Amino acid sequence: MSSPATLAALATAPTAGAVGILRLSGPASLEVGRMLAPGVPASPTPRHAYLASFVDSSGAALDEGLFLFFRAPHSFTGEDVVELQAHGSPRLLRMLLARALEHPAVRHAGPGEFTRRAFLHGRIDLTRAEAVADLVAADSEAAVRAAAAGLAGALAARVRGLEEPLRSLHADLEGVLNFPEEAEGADAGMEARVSELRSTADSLLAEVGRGRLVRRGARVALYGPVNAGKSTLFNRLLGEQRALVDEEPGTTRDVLEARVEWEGLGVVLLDTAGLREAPGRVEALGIARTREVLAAVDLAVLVLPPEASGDEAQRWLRDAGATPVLLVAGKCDVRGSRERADPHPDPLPEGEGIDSGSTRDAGTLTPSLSRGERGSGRGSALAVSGLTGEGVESLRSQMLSRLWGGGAPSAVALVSERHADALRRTADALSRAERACRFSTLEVVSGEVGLALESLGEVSGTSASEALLDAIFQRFCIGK
Amino acid sequence: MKHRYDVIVVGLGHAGCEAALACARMGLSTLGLTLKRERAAVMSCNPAVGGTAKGHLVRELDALGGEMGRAADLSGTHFKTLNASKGPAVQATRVLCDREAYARTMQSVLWAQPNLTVHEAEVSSVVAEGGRVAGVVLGDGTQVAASAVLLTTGTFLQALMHVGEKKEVGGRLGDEAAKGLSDSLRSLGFSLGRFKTGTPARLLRDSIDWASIEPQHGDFPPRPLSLRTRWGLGDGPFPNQPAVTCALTYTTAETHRILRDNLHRSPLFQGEIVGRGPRYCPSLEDKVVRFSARERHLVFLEPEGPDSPLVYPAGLSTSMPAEVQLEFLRTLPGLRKVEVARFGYAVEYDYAPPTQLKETLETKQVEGLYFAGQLNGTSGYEEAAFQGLFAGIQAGLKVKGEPALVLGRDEAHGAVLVDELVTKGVDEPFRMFTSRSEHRLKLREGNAELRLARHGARVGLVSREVLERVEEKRRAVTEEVARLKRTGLAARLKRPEVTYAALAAEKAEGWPALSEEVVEEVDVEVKYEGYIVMAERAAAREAEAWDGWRIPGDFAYAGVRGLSAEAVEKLEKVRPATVGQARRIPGLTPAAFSLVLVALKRGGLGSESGPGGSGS
Repeated sequence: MSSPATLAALATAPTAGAVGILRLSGPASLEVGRMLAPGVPASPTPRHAYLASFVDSSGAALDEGLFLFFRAPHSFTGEDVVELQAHGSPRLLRMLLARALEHPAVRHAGPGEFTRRAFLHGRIDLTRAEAVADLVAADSEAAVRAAAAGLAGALAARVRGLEEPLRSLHADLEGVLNFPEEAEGADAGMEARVSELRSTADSLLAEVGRGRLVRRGARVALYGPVNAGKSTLFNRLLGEQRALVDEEPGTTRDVLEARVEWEGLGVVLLDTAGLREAPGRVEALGIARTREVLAAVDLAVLVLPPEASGDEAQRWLRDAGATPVLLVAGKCDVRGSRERADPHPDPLPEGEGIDSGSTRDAGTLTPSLSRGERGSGRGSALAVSGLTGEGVESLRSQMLSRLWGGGAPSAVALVSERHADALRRTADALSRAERACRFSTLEVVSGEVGLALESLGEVSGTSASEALLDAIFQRFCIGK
Repeated sequence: MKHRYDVIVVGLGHAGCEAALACARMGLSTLGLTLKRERAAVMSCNPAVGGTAKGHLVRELDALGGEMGRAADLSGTHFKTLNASKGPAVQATRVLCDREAYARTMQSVLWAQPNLTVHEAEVSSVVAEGGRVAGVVLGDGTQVAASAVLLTTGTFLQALMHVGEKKEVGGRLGDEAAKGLSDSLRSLGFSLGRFKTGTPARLLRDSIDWASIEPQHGDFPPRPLSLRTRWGLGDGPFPNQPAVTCALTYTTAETHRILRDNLHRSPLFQGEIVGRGPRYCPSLEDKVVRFSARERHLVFLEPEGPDSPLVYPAGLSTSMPAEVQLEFLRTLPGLRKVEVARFGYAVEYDYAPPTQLKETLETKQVEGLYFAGQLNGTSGYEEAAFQGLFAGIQAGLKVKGEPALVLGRDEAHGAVLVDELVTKGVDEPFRMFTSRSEHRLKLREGNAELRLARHGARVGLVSREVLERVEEKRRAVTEEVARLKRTGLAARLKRPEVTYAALAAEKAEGWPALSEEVVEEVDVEVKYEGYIVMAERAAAREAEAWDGWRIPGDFAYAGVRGLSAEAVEKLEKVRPATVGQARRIPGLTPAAFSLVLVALKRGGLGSESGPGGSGS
């Protein structure tokens, strides 16, 4: 393999405060670093901070700062790394970077490329590296921040926190099944242990659901009867970002899509206005298509005209199936509607309709909204007007809080889709194990715990079957 | 003895007996070679057959037409069903045998078997010509030709016994070792490793104070291992031996103190034994050191037969000097005045790493040469016997020009055993656990014949009569499950508290009269259906995600940056065909696995191009 290029990039945001860092990684790092800071010795002591003058091509001093050298493989990337810490003037840093890039062995690092090098040199594990992969593809600010959290190993640590007790439990149960005499009694307290792990897995999964929103952006559909003001509201929600409206409509040319970024979260807004308004269409087709769209979004916003009845609202709510619904009274600018601020008293019977907690079995990752959370937006519809902009800000923040389930984007444990799927299967298997504690045999419980561990192993990279035997032999005295 | 046979089986332990019988029964002229005729089929360690996972192997072997289950039934003195309350898939049969009767029973089958000649001789080398086996050379220089040769030499290759500081050449007390064969295998290009195992002292029955310790009775009525016994198809009554009662005792603080004080005299802790030991404890001194916090270890005292003067103390394997053994034995309840007939010892022996074998247990190196049993690094009679039968069948089919027997991991624990051996290899004596099988819920003792009898019939080891009865049982089970589903009763039977018998009692009228084993199977199939579906789905996904992702045969692991030398060595040794296989290589770290993944999809890290990344 030919010698890889040396990468250069600013490691701090160009606008950042007191200190700015230029990072170099690769075989030519030291050479290039010394070109910028000639006062540093030819063989600098690794990890030692040298006070140095940074110079331009004519040798004139630009700034004074720190020079740090990390020798391969004892660096973040596993390669030779040099860091120049200069005072944070963006212009100065750009000049230093430009000068480094003049060197033939150096090129500008792409997003996530330092981390990719680190992975290739075995410095970080797969979960972090996959987060990098997602980072490269991420196109919203929240995704970048979450990817950074993933890089810090947050996910790896959370997964380990579930995996370790899960492995002990599995070893205990398999110990009892395989060595009835030596491991007798190790299954005591099984049900409580399974329940606890199940709830840990569920909360991890709920975060993963939000992580998916970060990676892919959230999809939100506006729907409701004709003339409720959906399209006006749609345009109002896009606001300044009207230019972002996708000129290429949905595949069936009846749903309008637009992408916006709200508080760092990418949101795809869908306006189903065309569905029932297209002339010459059979109404039933429109309903089926609406349901299809609603089933595929993270949140549905039901826009009802001020005069809509409770029955009507309920019918529309049913169309949303398992997708969470935010109820909105449109056209609040229309005179008289103000007096009917709450036209839809609790249209949902308890336990029916919009609880997305049941969607896991259907294979989606929609974050669960607890009953309490959805209750808050249920009884009273939010009054908005696309025309005047009244209530639109409040709608936007309610939509965001619904999508996040109250949590902040930065708390998201970012995972790849493959990992998200594996975590979902982990949680599923544990919930079956919990049922099996009451309704089936020990071998079934242990089998489900094993499946949970196997799925989790896809995230952590551990082979469950080998680790199991090690764990059994460590815990039980098995002999002849 | 002739100068040419279809098949030669070298060694007549548990693997060799099954291999020789299978080949002879498949109509091939078969020569069985043993160092000592009267030592054929001897139980060299514990006098029991079966146990968790092992009972499963014997039932499977039996369903394929093997002999071990039947021999155990006829010599059994104490039958026990283990794990009965933990679920039908882990439930397992263990049979304590009359040690003498077991060997005698198996020998009489061997001697009476048409097409099988048994001859006493040591084999000094295996002869191969042009990558094909040609036969063997005996100790006296005689050459015997054969189309297939099976080596089932157990622990006898370069065997060395240790009792304390004393060393003696031999594979089993009173038996010599096979000396020349290791060199012959090396010169054919095989690599050999070194393992050790151990066996406890044999106690004199009359010197034990039985009244002072807890008796352990067998089950009544006993559940046999063999289908032939269960269906009354063999000759002779069942049970065929008077029952014996075992007893339970335990080690004490004093036992542990004596062992610890004498650790320097144990060859295990002196570095005298170079073979690598297993993760489980091969000896009591191991247990005491590794589990120092344990106050006591259970010991089962098992009489070696109704009339035998000897008792096997299960759990007390040791290679301490004789006087230390006697000293610590007398610290156990019931053994204060115990006398020892033979002291325990450790055996060190050569094994052939089984990654040198194909899925049929034929060697990759030499066509027509098969390895089975402890030679492959396994431990246990049942593991050995299953491999013997399996290799015997494959050799027989090959000589007859018939297609190989293909057994999936979802069809038999035995198939899991073979697959694990040849794809993962062993780094300690390999014993079977039900945990090793991802299809455990399907692989029950109770349905072994439904899974395997047709394979046994196809190769000619299971009679038409038996196969018809098996198919009749299958039909009865299928029909009844279908009926319960049709009538909605299946949903009720799924509930844990509802038994089939209760349903039958409630709906007495028009209820079909079914045998107990059919009822058992129906109950399990209905109750487990959902769980089996989930387990199968997981296994299929695993197979799809990883096993479907092939690694090029010439993939250069040494060129993968960051991969440790140790990982490169492991990967190059196994040369996994798929990412799934690589993932199962023992000791390969997740980090190393990740590096291989990335190297495979290098340049596409962000695009998740491999099937392994197809989750999105």
